[in-house]
Parts: sequence; structure tokens; C-alpha cells
Amino acid sequence: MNRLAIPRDLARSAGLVLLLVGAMAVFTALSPDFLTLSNLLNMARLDTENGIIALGMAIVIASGGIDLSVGAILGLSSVVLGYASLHGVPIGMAIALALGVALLCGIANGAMVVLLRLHPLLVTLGTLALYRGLAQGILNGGAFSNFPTSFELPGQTYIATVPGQTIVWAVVILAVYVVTRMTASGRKLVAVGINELAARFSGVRIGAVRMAVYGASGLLAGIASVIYTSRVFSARGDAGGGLELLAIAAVVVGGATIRGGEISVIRTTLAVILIGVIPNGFVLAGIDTSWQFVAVGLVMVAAVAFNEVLFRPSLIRT
Amino acid sequence: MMAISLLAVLAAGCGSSTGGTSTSGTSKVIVLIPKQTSDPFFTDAYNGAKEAAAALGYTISYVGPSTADAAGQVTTIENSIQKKPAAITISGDDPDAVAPALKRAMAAGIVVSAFNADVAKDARKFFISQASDELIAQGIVDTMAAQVNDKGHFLLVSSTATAANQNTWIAFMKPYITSKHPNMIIDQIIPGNDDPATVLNVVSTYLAAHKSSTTGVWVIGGGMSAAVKAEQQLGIDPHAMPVAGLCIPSDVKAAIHAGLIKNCVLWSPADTAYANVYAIDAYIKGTFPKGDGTLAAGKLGNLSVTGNTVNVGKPVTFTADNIDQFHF
Repeated sequence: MNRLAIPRDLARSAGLVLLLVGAMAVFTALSPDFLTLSNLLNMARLDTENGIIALGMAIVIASGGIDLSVGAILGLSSVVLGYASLHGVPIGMAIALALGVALLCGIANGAMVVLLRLHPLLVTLGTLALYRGLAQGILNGGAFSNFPTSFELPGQTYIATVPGQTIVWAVVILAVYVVTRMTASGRKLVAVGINELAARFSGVRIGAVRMAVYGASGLLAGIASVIYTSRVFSARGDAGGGLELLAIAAVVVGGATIRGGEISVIRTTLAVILIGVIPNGFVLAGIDTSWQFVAVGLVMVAAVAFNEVLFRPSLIRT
Repeated sequence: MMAISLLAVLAAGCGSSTGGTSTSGTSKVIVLIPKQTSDPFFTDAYNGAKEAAAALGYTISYVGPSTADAAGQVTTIENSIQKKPAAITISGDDPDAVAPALKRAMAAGIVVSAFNADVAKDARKFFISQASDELIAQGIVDTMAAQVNDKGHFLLVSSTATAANQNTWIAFMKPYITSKHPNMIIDQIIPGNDDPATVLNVVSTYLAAHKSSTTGVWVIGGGMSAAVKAEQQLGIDPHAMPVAGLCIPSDVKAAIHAGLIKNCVLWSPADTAYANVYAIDAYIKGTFPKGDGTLAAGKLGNLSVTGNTVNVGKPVTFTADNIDQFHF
């Protein structure tokens, strides 16, 4: 956007990589089991759902919005999958149904933001409660776990030693990267985030962009939900609780401004990996896990400080 | 793909010096996964496990989610598998959600057991039951009977109407009262929702109407101290109308030291976890009973094993003399 954009972007990515390498070096020193191919793939497997949802959040934030309902959508979508399977719907159709519900939830968010002109924070705070309530109501607080074994495919298969869902994550990363960086849709998205009025006068259909943005966020939460539900082989109404905060954290740690107008697919993904390294390292090093939030918090503050303070143009000049 | 290749590059870059493989089969680490690490109940379990581990030459790795969360337990299990420990033992937050990860651990040659709250039967080798439901029910009845000369009319405050363990205990209490204490009569059962405010409310309301006909109050869900408070607010002396049943030590500690509650009953999480480590050791050494049998569990003596369930046995009765030893 300005002359500093390119070096600043590079510096931000380098900063995140440095933090990640630093954290990994610490855990490698603390546990011989940390830096193994098997553990790296294990981390990639466990980060997949967060990674996919964080990319949806990155899109929403780039448009100048926010989506607090993604964790609730994951829960509702999981419950729909379980409920459908419980009532004899073939698993393939149950998955399609779960994805459809997730997409609809996202579009409903978008519709309220666009048609009622409500602030997305208020809309998605409301639908967070609404979708979560539906999820818990449908299974009446219980859990469903009698899935057919064929449902192990989305979350429990390995291709050689690579977890299947991590390949899905990679495809999503690539797709979001291509759409946001290489297409007109991507430029419209960023334009809406930077200056809605200017975008409107440039002929961008703001409403359509916003609907697409929340729909995409919902659908990505649905994809994460199918993977999650298969991985734990259990559908519960409280699935995905708090995931929205993790996703927002990943986007912000990735260096995107919360005010919108920029998106970084790679840095958001790096941030998800960075945040995921900590619980893994704590378990392998045998450190009291009560303290892991302290480490997560420190890493996040360090990353945000690095992004926001160090590369503030006024500081660079002095 | 970018994520994978990045990780692979990092692995290649930093991994050469560390080797990255660890010994398997000889690990002496037992991973103990509580429902939540911040709960003092599980801290007591951890202490019990450490005591047994020290005696048998193991180390305990106490890791888990900081709030009760099945997904957090799954992540902890998956990460723990990478450590190739001798055993993973868990108090399951959701019996089914943790099952795929636990099965993966078993497939990797790790001994898996559950304690306190069981998991799906095919996802663990054995379960450590904290105390038999029948003995808990008898403890609830006997501690009250001793305070009221074996007769009278009682209010029973449960936790919630649907809680399976509560209904099991009540089902054991009733025939035991009929056969051993026939002059004790449960007048009414009211849920207290494990919540001190609700217990205070329901006990106050009930006693306001039935003060003269009530001999004592059983509380078998959470919030026993609130029942004492309810009596005091109505001008009833808790010595004259005893409160007894199941309790959390931290909730009743002050009331027991003040003599307002004579004693109450629960199991010891430390003993449960202690027995667990002995059971894991026996399993690894091949001495764990195949069918029904007994397990030698150090200071706890021989424990009965039925259908891959180790029964730690008797509940603990808390009194002014021992309650300070419990920290949950």
C-alpha cells in the first residue's frame, strides 16, 4: 500500500519465522521427542482445524469485519453431522448436510451484516449464542459417537505418514492464497476493507463481497468441523468452544491489522503453527501445562509488538 | 503443503544434531491426564500417583487441559504419544471423544488406563474405580445413623435428578436402610444442583415447613456446608439436626473444625491414582489379573479386580482429625 509495504511484509514474516524457530529450538533442547518427523506431522494434524478456521477469519478481517461465531458454527455443524448419522442418513450425505448448514450459518451472518446494516461484532456475537444454543439443544447436551468406520476418512487417515487432513489444509491454504492474491475478487475484498466508500464508488458490489466473505468463513468452519468430528469420532454441542479467539489471535499475530484491508495467508498459517507448538512442547517436555497460557500469551505479545511497534513508520525514521 | 514443507525444512535444519529418536519400550514415564489441571481434586490425584511412582521407579508427567475440555484431552493424548511413555492414564471428560486417540496410543504399544471417570471400554486396558458405589451408599447411611440413634425422618439433597452416580447411590441406600436401619425414613429427595446457593434455598424452604418432623439432612451432591448455613438461618442447632453425606473437603473444612458437621464421606483421589500406578506396573510386568483376581497395591493392600476394573474399595470418612490432609 505504501513504500514500506514490501520490506515490512518481509520483516514481519521473518519475525514470525524467528519466533517459531526460537520456540522450536527451546523445545528441542527440552525434549528429544520434539523435533522428530512424526511429531512435526502430529502437530500439523492437530493444527489443521485451527488453521482452516483462521484462514476464514483472515478473509473476514481483511474485509473490515469480524466473525465471532466460527467456533459455534463448528459445533452446530458437528452436531448436524452426528444427528443426521444417528437418524440413518448415509455418512456422505450427512457430511454434505453439515457443510451446507455451516455455509448457511455464514451466509445468515453476512445477510444480517449487509441487509440490516448491523455491525458484524454484534451480529456474530448474537449468532455465536444462537448457533451454540442450537448445537447443544439438538443433542440435548449429549454426545453422539456411533459413526460408521468409513467416517474415519476425513480425520483419521494417513497417506504414507502424512495425515490426510493436513493435505486438505494445504489445499485450503493454496486456494485462499490464489483467490485473495491473484484474482479480482481478492482485490475487491481488500478494497472493501481499506475504504468501503472508495470501493463502492469504484464499482465494487460491497454487499456481494460481504456475503461471500461470511459465507466462506462459515464453509471453512464446516470443513474444519467435519475433520474435527472425524478425528475425535464424536459429535458434541460444545465442540469448538473458544476457537474464534484462537483464530482472531492467529490473524493478528500474523500481522494483519484488525482494522481490515490486508490479508496474509502465509503469516496467518505460520501464526497457527506457532500457537500450536506451545501445548505440544509443554507436554513433551513434561512442563506443568497450567503455565502454557503464559507462554502462549508471551509469544503473542512478542509477535504483536514486533509487528506493530517495531515497524511503525515513525519508529523506522528515527 | 507450505506448512509441511516449512516444518520439514526446519526439521532438516535443526534436527541433525539431536538425532530425534528416543528409546521405546524402556520408558519409565507415566502420563497422567486429569479432566483439568487446575482442579485441586486432580492435584491430590497427582500427589498420590507420585508417591507410588517413587516407590516403583516411574516418573509422572502431569499434563492436560486447564479447563475441562474433551478436545484439549485429545490434543494432550496425541502429543503424549510422541513422547512414547510407558503408560497414559486419564480421567475421561467424554468417554467416546478421547477413544480414537487412546486407541492410537495402545496401537503404539503404550499401556492405557482410566481412573475416576471411565472411557470407552475398548479404548483402555483397565479402569481404576475410586470406591464401590455400594460402600459409598453404606458410608452415607452409617455416618448419619450413628448420630441419630438409628431412627428418624430425613431430607435427602441430591445433585441433579439425572446424574447417574447419584441415582446409583440412592438405589443402594434404600435397600440398605430397609435391611439394616429400618427406623430411618427418607421423607423427600430434592435436587441441589451441586450448587451451594441452590442447596441453601431448597433446604431453607423444606425445613421452614418441616422443621419439627425432620431428624437430619443428607447432602450427597455438592454444597454440604450450605445445608448447615440453612439450618443456622432458621435457628436450628446443627448438632441437634445433623447434616451428613458426601462432601468435598474444602467445602466443609471450616464446618468440621467448628464441630457443625461431625463427619462426611468421599473417596480419595490420591488413593485412586496411587492404585493406578501399581496397576500399570503390574500390567507392564504381566502380573495384572487376566480375569477376576487381586492386585497388590502397596500401602492399600490387595485390591479386588473384576472385569478389568480395579476397585480401590472403601470410601474415606473425613473428620476433624484427617480432613487437613485433603486439599481438594
